Amino acid sequence: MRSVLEMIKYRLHIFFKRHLYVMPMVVLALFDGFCFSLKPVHPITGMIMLCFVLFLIMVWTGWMIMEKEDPVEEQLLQLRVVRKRSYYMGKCLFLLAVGLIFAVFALAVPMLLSVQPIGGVFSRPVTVGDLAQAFLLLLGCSCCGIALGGLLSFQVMRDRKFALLLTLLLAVVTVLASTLKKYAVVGWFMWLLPPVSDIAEVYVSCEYFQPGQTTILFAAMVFYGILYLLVHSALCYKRGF
Amino acid sequence: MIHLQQISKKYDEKWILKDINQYFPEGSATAIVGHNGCGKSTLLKILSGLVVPSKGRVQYDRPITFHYVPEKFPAIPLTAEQYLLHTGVMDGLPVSQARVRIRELAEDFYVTEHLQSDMTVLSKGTLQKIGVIQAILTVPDVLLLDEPLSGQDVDSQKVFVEKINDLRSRGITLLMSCHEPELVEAITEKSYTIAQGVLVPASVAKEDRYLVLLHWAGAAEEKQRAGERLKGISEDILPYGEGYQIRLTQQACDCRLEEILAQGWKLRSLQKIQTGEKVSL
Repeated sequence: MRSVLEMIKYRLHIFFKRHLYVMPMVVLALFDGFCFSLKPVHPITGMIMLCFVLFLIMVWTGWMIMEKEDPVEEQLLQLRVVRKRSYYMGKCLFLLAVGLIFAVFALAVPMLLSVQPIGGVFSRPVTVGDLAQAFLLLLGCSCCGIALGGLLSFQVMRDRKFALLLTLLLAVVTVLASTLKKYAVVGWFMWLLPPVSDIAEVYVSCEYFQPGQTTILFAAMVFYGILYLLVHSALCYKRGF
Repeated sequence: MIHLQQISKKYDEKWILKDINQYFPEGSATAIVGHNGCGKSTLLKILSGLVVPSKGRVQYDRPITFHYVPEKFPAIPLTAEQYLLHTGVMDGLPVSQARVRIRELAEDFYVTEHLQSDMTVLSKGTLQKIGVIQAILTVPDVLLLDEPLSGQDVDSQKVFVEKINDLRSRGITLLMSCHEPELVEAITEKSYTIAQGVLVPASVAKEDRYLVLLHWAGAAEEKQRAGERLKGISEDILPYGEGYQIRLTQQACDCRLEEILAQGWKLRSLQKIQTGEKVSL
């Protein structure tokens, strides 16, 4: 377990040293700035938009992390642990940790605006419950986004252009899923994608978040995130370097 | 310890390895020699489970820790010390102990002043030394060496041989892919080569080589012409102070040394430098 924890620390260290977080965080900050400058914004609407954008940014981040991986560096890491499973567990936990960092960062701006309202940014007072549930939704989007972005890594798909196109397609379809569900044939495949678009479907006309619905959405998105990570790990395990 | 059973590997419709059956017992030291692209590195990676064979299986007697020195160590964006500390802790060393061990090995390999440098700015040779240090921070069950000496200076090569032999005395299993015959001689006991995808013992014809230091004692105006004549005797010739150093096989030494001295050169030193190895099937 100590090896796995150190591996996560090592990966985070490399992630920050490679500055892979900079561009996604800049884009996220710009969106935060844009979204919450359109005052007065409804807290639910703002958070739903933020969830969608965070999901897409995390797909991008997950893709970048996998693209920047050095195969020799990964081979050295894999050999450091006796069990291959520990290596893949460390990798999955690292991705989830990055997801957590981005979810916290995404929530920071609306949270600060709600604590110290600047000229009535929100159309109604933001409650602690709003923030807590928004965080869960952001975390769910972040986890399934990064897992989807990292799914088609070099070990899984050698044709990088096709992998990029497929990842982009999956990300866009995930965001538009609630619209596409109406078409029977396409709709049948939607169960393969995380229920990010369901957030809008559930909360579009709500005044407040509902803990039960939020928990279900969060659990479903985390489930998909973990499922993608497991599929990715299994494929890498089978194919090797 | 490691049993290869009917291992075959195909890349781009070409079979690199074909039906390899081999057992590597615990504590053995084996070299795999041969030309570039014959499948040496692939075989090492299959042995360690990094590469999945197209056919066959690798069986281990027990769970094994592998440490690996790759042919080209990656330039990781951390300082050498940060990287080695992470790897040391992953290997189970407490931070303080890892730090001490890193310092010791860095001193042995003459890289102490590079420990605080970012690995992206280190030379190929220094990076390779970091690669060796990370592999021997702790004692693994199996040490995989893939062209471990590429780009390393002579002093570090000697330290490397000492360290590896020290690890061997502690019972580790060594598997190495290598081109340098002197290294094969110094640290391994068996050699194999891969011929048309098949692992076969490499028969070794030993041939001693000597480093000869020569000083010109004749007329100064004759020196340049004498130097040209030396180049006709050996292509392995370098200026050495006022004279030259040449490398000769034992047979060439016996035949040509008298001729060299007759030309007006004085012998300053004659040193056996390696036991060469001609690999043949």
